[in-house]
Amino acid sequence: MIIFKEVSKVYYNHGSVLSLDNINLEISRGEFVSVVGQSGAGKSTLLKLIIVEERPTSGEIFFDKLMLSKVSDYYLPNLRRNIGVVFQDFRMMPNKTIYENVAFTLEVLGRTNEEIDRDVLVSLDIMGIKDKSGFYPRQLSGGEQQRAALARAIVHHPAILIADELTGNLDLLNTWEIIKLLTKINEMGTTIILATHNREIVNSLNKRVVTLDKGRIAQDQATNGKYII
Amino acid sequence: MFFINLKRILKAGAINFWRNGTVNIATTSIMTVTLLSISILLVLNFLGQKAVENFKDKIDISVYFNPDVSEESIFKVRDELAAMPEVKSFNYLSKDEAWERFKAKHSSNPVISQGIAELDTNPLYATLNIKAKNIDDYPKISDFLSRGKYAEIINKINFEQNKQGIEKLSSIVNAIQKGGLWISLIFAIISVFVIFNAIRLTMYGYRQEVEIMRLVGAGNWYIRAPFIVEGALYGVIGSIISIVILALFVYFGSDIINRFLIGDTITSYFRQNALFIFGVELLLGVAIGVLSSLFAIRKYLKA
Ligand SMILES: Nc1ncnc2c1ncn2[C@@H]1O[C@H](COP(=O)(O)OP(=O)(O)OP(=O)(O)O)[C@@H](O)[C@H]1O
Ligand SMILES: [Mg+2]
Repeated sequence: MIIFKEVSKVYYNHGSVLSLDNINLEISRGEFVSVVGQSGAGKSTLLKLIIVEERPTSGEIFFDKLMLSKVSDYYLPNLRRNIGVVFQDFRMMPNKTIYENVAFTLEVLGRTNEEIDRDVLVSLDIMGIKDKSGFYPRQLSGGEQQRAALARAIVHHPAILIADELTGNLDLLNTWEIIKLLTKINEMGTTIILATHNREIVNSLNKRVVTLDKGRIAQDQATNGKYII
Repeated sequence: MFFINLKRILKAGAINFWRNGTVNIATTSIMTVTLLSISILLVLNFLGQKAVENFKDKIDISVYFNPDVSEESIFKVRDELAAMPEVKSFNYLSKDEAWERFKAKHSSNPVISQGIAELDTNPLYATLNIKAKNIDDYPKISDFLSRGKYAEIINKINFEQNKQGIEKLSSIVNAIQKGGLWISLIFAIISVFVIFNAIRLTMYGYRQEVEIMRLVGAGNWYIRAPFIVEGALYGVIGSIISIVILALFVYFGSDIINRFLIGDTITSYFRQNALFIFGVELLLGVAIGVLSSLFAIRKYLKA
C-alpha cells in the first residue's frame, strides 16, 4: 500500500538537517506498524511524507499506484481524505468546537448533516468525550484533546490511520483502552501506522516494529516486534 | 453535494464576516460611502439629463423677416421648410399679430402706450418660429435660411445664443458626470484596499485553521470560498445601507431638489428607479468585495 524507495529528507533552515536517510520501506494493506526511535530520529517526518505535508528531498513514495511526487495540488485533497491522521500536536482547529472539528472531515467529503451528526456523535462516544462536543479545544485537557484528535481521524473510516505519539498524554488505563480500540479498527481492515515512544505498548502489540535511528532504518521486525533502542 | 457545500461555504463566510468585529464597521462604512457616491452619480446623471432635455425643448429658431417682405414670400419659405424632414413644427406670427400682441401686453404701461400711439407704422417684424426634430438639425435649418436664396428677405435669425446656452449646460452636466465618476472610482479603489486588508486580517486569524483544513483533505476552493463570501457580504450590506441613506436623502431633500426639476419630481423618479439603483449598487458592491478577496487569496492563500 505504501512504498518508500530510497527516500531522504533534508530540512533546510538554520543549516541543513538530514532527518531521513535513504529509507526503503514497504507497508501492506491491513498492517499495524509501530515506528519507534529516539526523539529526533525522524518518525514524524516519515509520517508527514505520507500525507504530503512534507515532500522528500530525494527518492519516491508510492501510495497504492500513486507516485506522491507527481500528485498535483488539485488531487492532493482526495489523497488526504483516505487517510486519518492524529498529529503529534493534535492540530485541532482553535475556532471550532470539538464537534465542528470532527465534523469538518465529513463536511469535506460532502456528507449530509444527518450523516455527519450521527457519525460524529458515535465517534466522540467511542472516545468517551461525547459530553465535551460543544467545548473548544483549549478547554480540554491534553488527554481529551488527544482523544478528540483520534475521533476526528477515524470518523470517516479511512483506509489508513496514521497516529503520531497517540498516547503521549494518556494515563495507563486510557492508553490500554485506546490500543484495544486501534487493534479492533485494524482487524476491521484499516492499515495503522503508529509512531511511539511507549515501550509497553509496542511490546504487548506483537506486531511489526520499524526502528529508526538518526534517520535510518536500524531494524525492521516483521512480526512480534519488540521495542529495542 | 453541490448545494450542501454551497450552504456550508455561505455559512462559513458569514461566520468569517461576523468574527471580524469592529473592523467590519470601518469596512462596511467605506463600502457604503463608495456605493452611495455611485448612486448619487446615477441620480445626478438623471437630473442633468432632465435639465438638458427641458432646455432642448425650449430651443427653436426665430426668423425675423424684413418689414417690406410680402406674406406671400414668407409663406413660400414656410412651405419649403415644411417639406424639410428635419423640421418638426413651426409657428408663424404676422407683423400685425405681433403688433397687436405687443400693444395688448403693454397696454397698462402709460409710457409705452404713449409711444405706440405716436408711431404711425408698425415697427415689428413678421416672425417664423421653427422647432427641429433633433437639436443637431438646427444648424442645417439655420444655414438653409441664412445662406440660401431667402437670405435677403430675412432680417435676422436668432439661434446662436440658445446654442451657446445649451452647450454650456451640457458641459456643466458633463463635468459633473466626469467629476462624479472620478470620485466614485477613487472611493472604489479605497474600498478594494480596505476590504483586502479586512480579509487579510481574517485570513491571519485563520492561518492555523486553513493549514489544518488542508491536512484533513479540504480542497482549495472549499477553503477559499468563505473568504469570497465574506468579501461579497461587505458589498451586500453596503448596498442595503446606502440605498436606505439615499432614500432618506430623497425623502428629506425632495423640496429643494424639485425646484430644479420641471414637471418631474425626484420622489417619483426615485420610486421608479430605486430597484435599478439598488441593483447597480449590489452588483458593483459584490464585484468590489469579490475582487478584493480574490486579491487577498492570491496573495495569502496560495496552496
Ligand atoms: N520543519 C523542520 N525544519 C527543520 N528541521 C526539522 C523540521 N522538522 C523536523 N526537523 C528535524 O528533523 C529531525 C527529525 O524530526 P522528527 O520530528 O521527524 O523526529 P521524531 O522522531 O518525530 O522526534 P520526536 O520523537 O521527538 O517526535 C529532527 O532533528 C528535527 O530537528
Ligand atoms: Mg515526532
